[in-house]
Amino acid sequence: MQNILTYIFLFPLLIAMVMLFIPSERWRVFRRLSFAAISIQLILSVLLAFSFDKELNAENWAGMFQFVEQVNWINLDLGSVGSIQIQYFLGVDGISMPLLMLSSFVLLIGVISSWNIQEKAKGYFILYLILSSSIVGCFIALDFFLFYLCFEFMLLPMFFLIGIWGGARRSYASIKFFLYTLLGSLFILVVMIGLYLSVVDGDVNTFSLVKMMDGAYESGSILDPSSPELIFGYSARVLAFIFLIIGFGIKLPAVPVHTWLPDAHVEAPTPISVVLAGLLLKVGAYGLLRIAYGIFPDIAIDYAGFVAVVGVLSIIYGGMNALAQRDLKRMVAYSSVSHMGFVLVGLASLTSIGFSGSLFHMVSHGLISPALFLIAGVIYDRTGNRQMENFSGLASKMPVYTFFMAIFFFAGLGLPGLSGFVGELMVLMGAFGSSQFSLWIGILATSGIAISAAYFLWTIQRMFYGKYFVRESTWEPNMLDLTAREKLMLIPLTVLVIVLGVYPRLMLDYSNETIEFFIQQISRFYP
Amino acid sequence: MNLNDQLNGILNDLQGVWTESILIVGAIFILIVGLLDSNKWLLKSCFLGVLLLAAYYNSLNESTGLLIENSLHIKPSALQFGSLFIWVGILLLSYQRSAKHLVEFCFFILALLAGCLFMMKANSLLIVYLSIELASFASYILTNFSFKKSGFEAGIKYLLFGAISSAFMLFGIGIIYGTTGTFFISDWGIATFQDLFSQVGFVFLLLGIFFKISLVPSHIWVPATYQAAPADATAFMSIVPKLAGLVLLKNLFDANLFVADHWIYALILMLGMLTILFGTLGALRQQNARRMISFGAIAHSGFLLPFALLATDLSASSFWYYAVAYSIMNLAVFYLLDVYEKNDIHNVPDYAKTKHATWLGAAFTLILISLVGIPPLAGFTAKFFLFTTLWEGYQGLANGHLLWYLIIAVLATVASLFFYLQIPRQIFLGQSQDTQSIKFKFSTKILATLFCIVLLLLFFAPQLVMEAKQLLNNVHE
Repeated sequence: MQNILTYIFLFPLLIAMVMLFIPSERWRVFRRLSFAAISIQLILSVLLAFSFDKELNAENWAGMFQFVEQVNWINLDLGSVGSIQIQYFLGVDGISMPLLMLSSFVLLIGVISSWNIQEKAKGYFILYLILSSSIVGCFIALDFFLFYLCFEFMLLPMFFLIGIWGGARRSYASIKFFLYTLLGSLFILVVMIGLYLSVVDGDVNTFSLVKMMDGAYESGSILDPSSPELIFGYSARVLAFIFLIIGFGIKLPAVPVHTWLPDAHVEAPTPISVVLAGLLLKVGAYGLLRIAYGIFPDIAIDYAGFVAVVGVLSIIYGGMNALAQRDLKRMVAYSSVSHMGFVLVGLASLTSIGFSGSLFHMVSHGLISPALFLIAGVIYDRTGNRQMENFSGLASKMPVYTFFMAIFFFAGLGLPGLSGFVGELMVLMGAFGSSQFSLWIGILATSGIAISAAYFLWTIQRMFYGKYFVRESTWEPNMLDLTAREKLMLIPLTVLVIVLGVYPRLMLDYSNETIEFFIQQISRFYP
Repeated sequence: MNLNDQLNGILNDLQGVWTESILIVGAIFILIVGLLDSNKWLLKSCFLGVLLLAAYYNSLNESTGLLIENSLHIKPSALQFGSLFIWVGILLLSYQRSAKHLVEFCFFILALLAGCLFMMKANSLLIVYLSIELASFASYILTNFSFKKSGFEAGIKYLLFGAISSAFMLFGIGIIYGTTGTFFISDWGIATFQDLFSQVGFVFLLLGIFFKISLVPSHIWVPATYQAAPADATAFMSIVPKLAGLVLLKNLFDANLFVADHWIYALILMLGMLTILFGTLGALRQQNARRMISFGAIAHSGFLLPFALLATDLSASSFWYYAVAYSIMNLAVFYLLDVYEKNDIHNVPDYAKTKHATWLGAAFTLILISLVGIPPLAGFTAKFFLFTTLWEGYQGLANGHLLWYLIIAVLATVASLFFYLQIPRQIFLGQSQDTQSIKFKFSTKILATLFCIVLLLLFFAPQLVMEAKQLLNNVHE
């Protein structure tokens, strides 16, 4: 088990390097190799999950991480300011473990979904594997610099994956995605530099997230909680927290800065939508949880109301938009915005059930939204069209498809027994039980569920009920039920959504201790 | 001191300028060789030989401090950047260049290099003036080395602009001499520029230096010049005189001339911010690829400026790293622009014709991404050091302008992504008929890949750059 995290992290990258030297005519090799690489990654993370100590409890953050790997990477002597020390520092705790599992799993679904890509297959799979490594790296990096490297390095592959293999307006969508997320990550970069100059390990400045969470500030430095310095009339910590909310909020996406998401989703090819919705959004949420909340708990308390309002705004505004869409994929994209709002509300509640709910909702949405995009992709593959008014009565023609659609639509709207319900319930319990903001937040967030029920049910009614009809007669011969490959993707997702819905402890057991510890850390800062 | 001692002293001091002497003698030597035989390879090897000899003597140089009647002040940084510049000159050989006018090209490059090396060692304001003029005159002529009408136009524009700048600088030097009674930078201190008149003189002096750094408002010549000059000359002009000017500026400000919240700092920082904004916004509207990159280079001048103003160790190290990364990136990007231009691809939309050249396109993308400053490439580390320096400067000096500088630099980085991505967008995402007629040489691909590997390597092991600095410094101490 030694260095297992490194293998999980870098194995896909290694395979990508190997692929560079395979001639591009042999396009079948690439998908097989990718499948093998991600499968091995998944197997390793399952092994990791089995040997993960769920009961681990410690005094500080440094003790909470398991399978830690720490090596000095960059060591620069810079004279008077000491040296810049960047570490290759990996580890998992109860928060990153479920997300790591989720990543390997969704990435594998993504490879299966990419199976038919022949055009420039070499480039596609190389970029896909680079993306895989960087996503996984984000979840296990414990050095801020390493985290940032992975966080940024997702952009370039994603830009090309959307831009080259995407739909009609792909050029516009990909550059919009790139610009938005780069803006967000530069906000994070500024905070990273501030933290680096303020946090010390011994007497050397450090990028270690663990030290930052444990609050090893150099006294008198700008982000030291006791520092009296103000920037533009605010304390530096408040600004840093706001910057992180903006930076990760763009990735999440939270409402005023969400507009890249619908475009990117609609233009991206199906597998990339799967990864984008399933994992990239979770990276944003994870960053908020680990970095914004982990390092700035004192500010998180002061700004709980603000974050909650942003969350509620995302829930309602995203839901309303989803209601108004006529493109199936766009509808699903806006439903993601709405669902990620719940994550924000759960975080803002600052209760252990709210935090657990957020994390659970992240995992659950990481399973449901890929399935929803696959379902939208099924129609698009057959007809090249996704407009809802062009279809009706699909239930009679494609019963298996309708069955899977129903499961995931109901999971999305929060039907008890499916995973979506558990996450939303826990978040709402956290919101109602929280002392941070008024009851209205909880009430408005609950109304978001009603909106999601409206758009999902309305879509079912429009597309699946009624008399069978498709707009163009040329689509007619293509309207066949699910293929084996499509079932292969949807069945595991269905199983997991049901299992997590019935037995949420499967995931919560992993995170309980860490979340308890997290809340305990935050509670030290209550006035 | 009698004449004999004086002459002996000068002879002793001369070893401080061995490098420059070699460059000048070498330049003349190449002219003579060119008269006898205009073989391309012979001339190129002469050029290489002169530069290698200069690099060797530059690394041997042991005399630091004030030399030759105080007119030169040799600091380790001058020698360190001198080595960088000489290597940039050597790498120019990787560009394609026919035998035509090669002699003159080598001559002017060497002259420009000598001027820039003197600029960094200058202590007397007269040497400052002379070295800037030497560098400028070589640049004016190099601009017109494509022998086209546009080059001539750009050269004249550049010349007129340079003439005005140097007039201002001369005026400034006059005022400074009149008010302070000294030509020597080493005599300056916090008490030197107390009254407004001498401060105005100082600002006029700065205008001349800003002309070399291409800082707003002395940047107007840049796009036309960079567009019209041959690619190798452009690459050289966009790196060497600019960095030399910054080193000179750093030499001026290392003496702690002003208190941290002095209006001159505010003015320079303001100009730096304007430079970033102007370069970035200007590039957004360009159609011609080379012109677009030129505007990007203006923005980079703005990014480099704070290193010259902040006299901390972090700033010095960061400056060195940024300079090395910037040199490699600019050499690479102008090299690739040149390769594409040789295939008649000048405007951004034309790049869509090269869809099939994936490998070269990927390398080009990496280089441009590095210019934006996205990991994992050296450009990111450079930007990272810049932001750290600014933040540290803000923390240390509590100078609000530095915070604004940081904010503008961050926002400009986002905006710069938009234009730097235009070329990859056309290559990979463009909607054009792939003509397949454009073939790139294998050696081009190898070279472009090497540039990318170096940029990646410097990200993963930035200590290499710093160790090079240490190495160069140790030799000199």
